[in-house]
Amino acid sequence: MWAYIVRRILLTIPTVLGIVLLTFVLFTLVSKDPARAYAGKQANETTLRAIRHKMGLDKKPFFDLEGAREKHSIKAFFDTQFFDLLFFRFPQSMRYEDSVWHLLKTKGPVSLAIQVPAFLILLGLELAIALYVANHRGKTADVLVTTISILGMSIPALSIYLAAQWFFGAQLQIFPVAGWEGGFYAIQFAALPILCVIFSQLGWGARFYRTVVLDELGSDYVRTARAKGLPQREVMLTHVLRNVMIPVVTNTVAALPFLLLGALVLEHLFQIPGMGELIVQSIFNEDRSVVMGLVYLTSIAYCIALLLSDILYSVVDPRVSLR
Amino acid sequence: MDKQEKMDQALLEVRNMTVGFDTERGQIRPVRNLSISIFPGQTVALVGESGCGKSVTALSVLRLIPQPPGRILDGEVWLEGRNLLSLEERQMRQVRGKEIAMIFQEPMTSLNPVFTIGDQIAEAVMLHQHVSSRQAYEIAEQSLRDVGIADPGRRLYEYPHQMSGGMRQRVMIAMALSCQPKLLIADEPTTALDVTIQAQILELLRKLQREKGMSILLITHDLGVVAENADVVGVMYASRIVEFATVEDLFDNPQHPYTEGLFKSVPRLGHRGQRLDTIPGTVPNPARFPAGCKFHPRCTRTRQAAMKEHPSETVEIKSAGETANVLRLCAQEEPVLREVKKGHWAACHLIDDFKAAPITPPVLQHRREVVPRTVEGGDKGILVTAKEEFRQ
Amino acid sequence: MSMMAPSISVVPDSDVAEISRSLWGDAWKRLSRRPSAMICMGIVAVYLLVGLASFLPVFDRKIEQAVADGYQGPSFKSFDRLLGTDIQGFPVIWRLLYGTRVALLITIFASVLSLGIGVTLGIVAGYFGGWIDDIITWLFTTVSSVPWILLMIAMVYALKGRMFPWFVIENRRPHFAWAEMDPTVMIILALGLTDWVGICRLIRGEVLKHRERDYVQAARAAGVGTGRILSRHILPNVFHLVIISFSLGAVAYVQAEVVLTFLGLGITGRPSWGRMIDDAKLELLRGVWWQAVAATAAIGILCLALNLLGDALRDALDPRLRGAD
Repeated sequence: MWAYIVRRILLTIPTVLGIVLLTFVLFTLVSKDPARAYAGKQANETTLRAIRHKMGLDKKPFFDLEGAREKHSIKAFFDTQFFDLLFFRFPQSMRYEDSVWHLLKTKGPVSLAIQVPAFLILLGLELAIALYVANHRGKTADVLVTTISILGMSIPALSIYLAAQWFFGAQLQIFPVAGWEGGFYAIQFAALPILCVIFSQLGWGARFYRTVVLDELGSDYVRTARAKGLPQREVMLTHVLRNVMIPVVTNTVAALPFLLLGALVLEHLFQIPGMGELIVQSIFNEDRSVVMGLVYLTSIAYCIALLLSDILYSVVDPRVSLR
Repeated sequence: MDKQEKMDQALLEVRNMTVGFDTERGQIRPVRNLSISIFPGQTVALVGESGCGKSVTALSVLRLIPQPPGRILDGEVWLEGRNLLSLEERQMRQVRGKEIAMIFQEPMTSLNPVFTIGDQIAEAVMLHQHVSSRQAYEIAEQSLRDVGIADPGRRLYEYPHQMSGGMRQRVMIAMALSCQPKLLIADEPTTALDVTIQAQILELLRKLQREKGMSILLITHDLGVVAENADVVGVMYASRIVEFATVEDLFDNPQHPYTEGLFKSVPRLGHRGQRLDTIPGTVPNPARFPAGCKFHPRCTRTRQAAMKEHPSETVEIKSAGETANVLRLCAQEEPVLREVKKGHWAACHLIDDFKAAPITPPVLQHRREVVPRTVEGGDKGILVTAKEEFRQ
Repeated sequence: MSMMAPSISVVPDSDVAEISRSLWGDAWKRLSRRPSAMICMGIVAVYLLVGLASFLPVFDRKIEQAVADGYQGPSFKSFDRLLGTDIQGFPVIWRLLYGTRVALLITIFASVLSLGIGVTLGIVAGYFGGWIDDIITWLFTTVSSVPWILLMIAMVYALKGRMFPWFVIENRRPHFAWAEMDPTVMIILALGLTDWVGICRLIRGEVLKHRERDYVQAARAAGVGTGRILSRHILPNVFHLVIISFSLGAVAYVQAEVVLTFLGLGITGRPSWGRMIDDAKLELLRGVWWQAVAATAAIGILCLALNLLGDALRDALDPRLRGAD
């Protein structure tokens, strides 16, 4: 198992380098002059130069041979845009005059406040529905869930959000239409977005886990368990569920970065000052450092989460540990 | 009821059972009008090629076929005075595992990969015997010891993947026998195993049967396994039993052309250098059963008979890419199982005086005295069992 | 379920063509047996026709002609007012119909781009193997490590506001000039350049399997050239995956347009379904529902048809399910 884990970690390294390269190419080589975009058309050369310095754009792209020679330091050789990115030395945000890391610390919890409860409720509902309908295959409930899930996959999530906002916020006035408040009252503002996440994803998730459960239900060990005389309920809740938990756990770990990232559309619509909204606003504000930093950080986090999920898989599934 | 009387009464009696499956193209019937009786301490074998309905029969007895699409359309399954088919699901669960246990073909996948061996055996024990989990583990350990697993105390805490296929089948048997069932249904218990392991497992089953006095319904396609283990044999072809007799009778004097064909396709000692016969064609898919006798497209007996018969009594059929003449009777009318000799049932129009033979339920109490290692089969020679074949 | 593809153990080209024709014939028979698949196909065909028709100049005119006051509800008085009017009094029905043009452009071109890249790289990686495979595998592992929405955003962000040499028509005189990229083109690029990973991975796996099959080995032994093996033997055997990916990819593209437009990275300056839903985010709270409902229904029906059609196509075409028959 250890050999497998080490090999899996080593295989991640080229991918991480690939991510750095991809981000760098998109944000430095392809992108237009970010300083000009931020400052606007009227800005004069001095202002631009100051902004460029602040954005770290006056550094060399890959290696700084001259700088290293002038300063007699090897460190200056790597004091370039590429290595800034690689080592997470993001320039300050122009708009917020703050470091990307600090923004992450203040905005992240807001996203988590919505995403974590939504994710947990969603997962519980999905599993419960999947176990139920897989056990009643072909019956009304099963057909209903399949139909609703295909409908849900076809309608844009944004439309579902808008409908929920209008119905619960404007018509019934149970929840505020949009906005945010820290502390205890966050519940009030988080409720509707959480509902929205559940509405828009429940169908898809239930359908996904239904397939997983059906696969398990067809296995020989289920037949053995029934031949022992176990009631169907117990077969489902011990034998099947325990096997289904393997993909559940690994999927959950792979989903963690997305929880922190929040949902861009959702946060933008409900004006929730989380990570998703931060990205959207930074695009509007031409705040290159934040967009680049978040794209890079999320990708690396996702990459590591996939790695962890693979490793976890080899831990939770007793079959894999012999590899 | 004294002991002798009990031995004379069938433990399990399947009467006229028909099983249907709903498919996109309509209902298929993999088992039709099947009757079979099993007496205490007896081993009854159901033998046939894959797809003939023998596994569906086994699963149907325990009502384990997936429902839907499967459905037991007709018949009764009597176990000691109760019709299993009319029991509530809750009562049926008391039968499964406790009175009738089952082991399966695939020991690799039949155990749940995420539970330990001990958990899985103890689960069955706790379900049917009111004992604490500690006692259940002790019983589990003892039953592992019974099936010849070394160091059972440690094995209890291992996962199925840590064991070999033969070992897992032993675990399956231990689990099945942990509640002292009266009947064990063994569905191809050795098919997925190496030949040496096969012999060991069969030896183990025989030993356990002697010790515990249970009955076995053995589902197999291997005539060697039948010869070594069975008291009574039912030969199944395309959803029906086509021949039913004691193992000695069947091997000495097969009546049905399909049974004959099966014997010819098994290697025999003393017939070195001969090409093995095979039965032409394949078992028909239940969705496309032919009319008349289900075996007539592959039957050599009807072809030979057709050559001597007047052409008006024959029909031309296409089978396995060639045309052949068969008897009109065979192609149109399906023979039912008749007692063609005393204690020997078969279903073939071309057996002498078949029409005159009585239609009686196939019941045979026969048990062989000592289980022989090999069966002497008269002029058929000695069947090479898996074990012997391996030794050569 | 058998993992075997339909076995083709034949060398001569004519026979391969014969068999693959019967594969498609079979698939068509299967599809035509399912009424739901045929209905879906009909719906997609209608969208396609409307989409093509929407390139007529009359659509450009109609979307900018006020037919009533702003925010008039749907009425049966005239076709123009069937779905009401937007804030400026422009007819929603015409905006909706015009939206099929954008949707058609995006789905067709983004699909062609992503499928083209994915299929080419997939076949090359699978067939040639070795270091070529390593590089392509690394490429798609990297691209798939970036969450799709972020990659799209980064892509649009990189392209937005940049000047590109562009073919413009000015005073009826076509000529090249530096111009900002049209938002529609930008979305097509962003979608097409990010979404090729799935199909690439799929095709690579399939080609790896086929490469070792007897008929390819036989063709190679008979001295058939690489190009010919790829086009005559490999491509026909993986093409069904392309068809399935096309129908399911179109769903993703139509929905991605909505997301990008809502985030301010999408269509500007002309109506699209995403634009209409974006407009509706404030209208809805004032009770103006027709624009949002119309666009949602347009997307919903199309995507429903494509989803069901994709499922049906997979059942009919995927060799992995064929064995189960």
